[in-house]
Amino acid sequence: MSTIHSIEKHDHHDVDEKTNFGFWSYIMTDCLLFGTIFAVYAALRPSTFGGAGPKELFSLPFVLGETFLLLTSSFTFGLVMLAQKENKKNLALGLMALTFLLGASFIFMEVTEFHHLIAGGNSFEKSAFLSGFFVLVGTHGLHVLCGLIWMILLMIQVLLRGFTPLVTRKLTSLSLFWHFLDIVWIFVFTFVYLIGAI
Amino acid sequence: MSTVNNTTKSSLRSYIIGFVLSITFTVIPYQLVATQALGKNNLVLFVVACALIQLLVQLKFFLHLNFSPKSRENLLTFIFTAIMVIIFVFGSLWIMHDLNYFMMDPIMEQHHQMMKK
Repeated sequence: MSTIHSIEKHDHHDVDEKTNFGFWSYIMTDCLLFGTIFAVYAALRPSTFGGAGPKELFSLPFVLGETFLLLTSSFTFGLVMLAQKENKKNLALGLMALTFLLGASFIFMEVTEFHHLIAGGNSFEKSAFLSGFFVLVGTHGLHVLCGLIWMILLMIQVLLRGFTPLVTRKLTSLSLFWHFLDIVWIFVFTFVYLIGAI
Repeated sequence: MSTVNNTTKSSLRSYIIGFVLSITFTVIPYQLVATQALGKNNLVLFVVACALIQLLVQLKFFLHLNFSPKSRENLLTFIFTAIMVIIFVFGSLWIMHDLNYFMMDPIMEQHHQMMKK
């Protein structure tokens, strides 16, 4: 019985490592995607077509708020993984709900910013610079939105099934994805907003 | 059980260190940009340096990327990806800059030269 158990355990471990590497490879290709979009943004940034540039359009304190939300959500998702390791289901669910709220607030702020820009006549049709901006920030926002949907689905699975090996694997993948989105945002914050304001 | 607790404690500490460092390296460049301290070029360099430091901080403390044999494949694919991104981001900017320069209208170029003088 114990040998069967250890073989099973070994199998799980193997699958865990394969899934981890596979998902990591996906994240790396996503890095390439964001790299190209960053290059496009940087190349188009001077082309404002006589319209307003980043300095006039963006509000730094507002974006700092967005950054704090996403940074904190990345931290709380790290805590989810710790709660999972200790097998504390309710704690993990609570922290996931907190992470979800922080992520949803981030998306809400981003949509507000987009709405503000478009209402002020600065939509993606206005200039090449704004096209690049909406594509870059919009792609990141879309990723966060996908992460949020995934998080709801996983919360349901944790609630119904508990930390089975499969659910734990999915949770680990989502944690990689979520931390990765936080890192991408650091670069958006730096290259679009901070350098835009200099 | 106590070993589980100990590893959890050290992981918790590493998450907290990562979080505090990330906040620090977000607030410092933000403050400097808000007050427009340093010169323009220095400020850009400093802000980019802060972003790169934060990348390393988050890779270490949140994504647990390190030099252990266990995460060697992940580290290698990351380094490969980083090299690719650097090549096509800087390559694109280089090409686009040259393209803008060579495509400049001769009259505009004269104007440009005059502006420089």
